[in-house]
Amino acid sequence: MFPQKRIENQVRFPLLDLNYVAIREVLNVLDPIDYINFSRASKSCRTLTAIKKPYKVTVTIRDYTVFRMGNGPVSHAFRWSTFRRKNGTRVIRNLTNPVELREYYLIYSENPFGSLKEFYLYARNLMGIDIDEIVIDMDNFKGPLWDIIDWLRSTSRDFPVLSIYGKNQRQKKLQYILDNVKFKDCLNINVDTIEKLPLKIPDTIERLGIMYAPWITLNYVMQWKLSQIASLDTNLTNQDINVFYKSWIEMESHLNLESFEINLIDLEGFIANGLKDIPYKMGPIRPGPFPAYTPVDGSFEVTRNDGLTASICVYFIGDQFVAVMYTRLALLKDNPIHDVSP
Amino acid sequence: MSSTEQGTSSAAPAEPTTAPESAAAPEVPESFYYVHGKDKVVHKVSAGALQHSALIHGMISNLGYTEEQAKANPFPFENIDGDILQMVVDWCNQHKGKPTPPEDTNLPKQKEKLFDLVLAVNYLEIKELLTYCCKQVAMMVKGKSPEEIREIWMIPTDAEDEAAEKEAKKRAGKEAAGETAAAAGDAK
Repeated sequence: MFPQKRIENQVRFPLLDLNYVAIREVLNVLDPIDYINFSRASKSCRTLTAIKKPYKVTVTIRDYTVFRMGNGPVSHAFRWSTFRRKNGTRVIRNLTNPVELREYYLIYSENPFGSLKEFYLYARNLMGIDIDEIVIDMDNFKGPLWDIIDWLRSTSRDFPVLSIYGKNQRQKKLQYILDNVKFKDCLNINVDTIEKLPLKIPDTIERLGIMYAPWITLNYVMQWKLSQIASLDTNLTNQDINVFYKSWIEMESHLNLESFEINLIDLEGFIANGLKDIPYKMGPIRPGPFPAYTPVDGSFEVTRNDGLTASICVYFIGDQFVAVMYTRLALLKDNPIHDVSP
Repeated sequence: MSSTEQGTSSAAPAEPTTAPESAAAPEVPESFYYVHGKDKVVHKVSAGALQHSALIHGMISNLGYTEEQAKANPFPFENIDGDILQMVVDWCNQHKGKPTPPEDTNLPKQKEKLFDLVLAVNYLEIKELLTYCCKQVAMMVKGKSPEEIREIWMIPTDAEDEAAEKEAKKRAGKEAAGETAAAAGDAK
C-alpha cells in the first residue's frame, strides 16, 4: 500500500511548459490510474488525455465495485467501497494462479455501484475503452439485481465475457441474469443454486465454465455446440464420459470441440470405464491450464476418425480429480477457460 | 569517451569518467567533434557517442571535418545550460555503441535539473534518454491524487486557465485596435 505522502517538499515540474512530444512521452509512461487522475487535474489535462487506449476492462460488481484496466499480467483498477479508512490509498495484489499483479486505487463511496457507472462513462469518453468482462457477485451485491441488468443493458454492449459468482442462489435469479445480459464469447458460472436445475445457456458462445454443475446430465452435455467446455462438480459417471469421448471420436458430435474438462467421481474406474473400448497411446505428462492443476500421470492420446488426435489428461485440483481432453494443445498456453476470482 | 576542454568560461568542467583516446584503440581512428552550451565550455565528443543525438548526427554526417576543422567549429547550443550539456555528453559517452538497457541507472539524479534536461534532450533528439527522463517525470506523480498531480506538475486550475485566456484575448483585442488606429493614421 502507498501511504498518502506529504508533497510540500517535493520538487515541482512544469509539465505543460514542455513541448507536445515530450508531454506525450511522459503521459504514455503513466499507468492507467495516474493517467486518469491526471486527466482530472484540469480541463486542459483532460484535453491532452482524450486519446484512445487499448486497455482491456474488467468490471466487478458486488458490495464494492471495481473497474480494472490493463493488458497482460499487470493491471490497474479503481475500486469504490463504503470503507472510509483507506480512501485514496493503493494496494497491490499478487496473484499466483495465473501469475498476475493488480494495483487497486481505493476510493470511498457511499454508493459504489453509482460511482462505477459514473466512472465508466468518464473512462469511455476519455479513452474510448469499453467493458470486456463483467463479474457479478450475487451474494455480495447489496442492491436489486435489476439495477445491474438495467445498467448493463443501457450500455448497448455485448460483453465478451460474463462471470457470475454466488452460493445458495435461486435458480430463477441466475437465469434472469443469463437471459438479460448480452454476452458473446465466454460464460463462467461459479454459482451454487438451491434448486440444482438445468440452466438455459445460449450455444452461440465459444467457452463455458461451470464450477457447480450437479444438475448436468449426459443428454445436456451432448447437446452443447461450444468449443471449450469445463464442468465441475457434476454427477456424470465414467460411462457417461465414455459416451461423450466415443461420440467425438466417431465424429457424431462436438466437431468443433477444442477442450472438454469434466470432474471424475470415480478416478479408479476412469481407465476401465471412461476409456472403455477406446484405443489410446500413452503420451507425455502435460501441464494443466493453470498452475493449480497437478498432473496425475501421462496423457491418453486418442485419435478421431478423421485423424485428429486429442490428449486426455487427468489432474488433481483442490479436492477433486478432473479429466481434460485437449484437441488443440495450444490451449494449454492461452485462453484458460476458468477465470480468476473477482 | 570524451575529454572536456576549457572554453571561455572559467567553470571547470566535470572530469571524463574514462580516458578518451587511450582506451582500446580502434583500427580506424575515431573522429571527434566539439560542442558547447550557454557557458561556452567546449566538450570533445566522439562521433560514436554523438550518434545518440539525431540532431547532431544529422549535422555532422556530411561535414567530413578534419580534427582541426572540427576543433575550430564547435557546435553551439546556446539554448542549453553548460551543466545540462555536460550531463547529456556524459550520458552519450556512457552509452556509446552499447544497447540501451530498459532501466537506466546512470541518469542524473538532480530532479531540479530534470526540466532543463528534458528540454535539451528533446531538442537534441536523443530518443532513449528522452524516454528515461520522461519515466522519471512520470514517477513524480505515481500514486498521487488529481490535486497532488496539479500541484507537482504546476498545472493551472481551470479558473487560472480561463483568466489567462481572457487576459490574452484582451491583449489581442488591444493590439488589434492599436494596429487599426495606426493603419488609419497612415491612411491620413
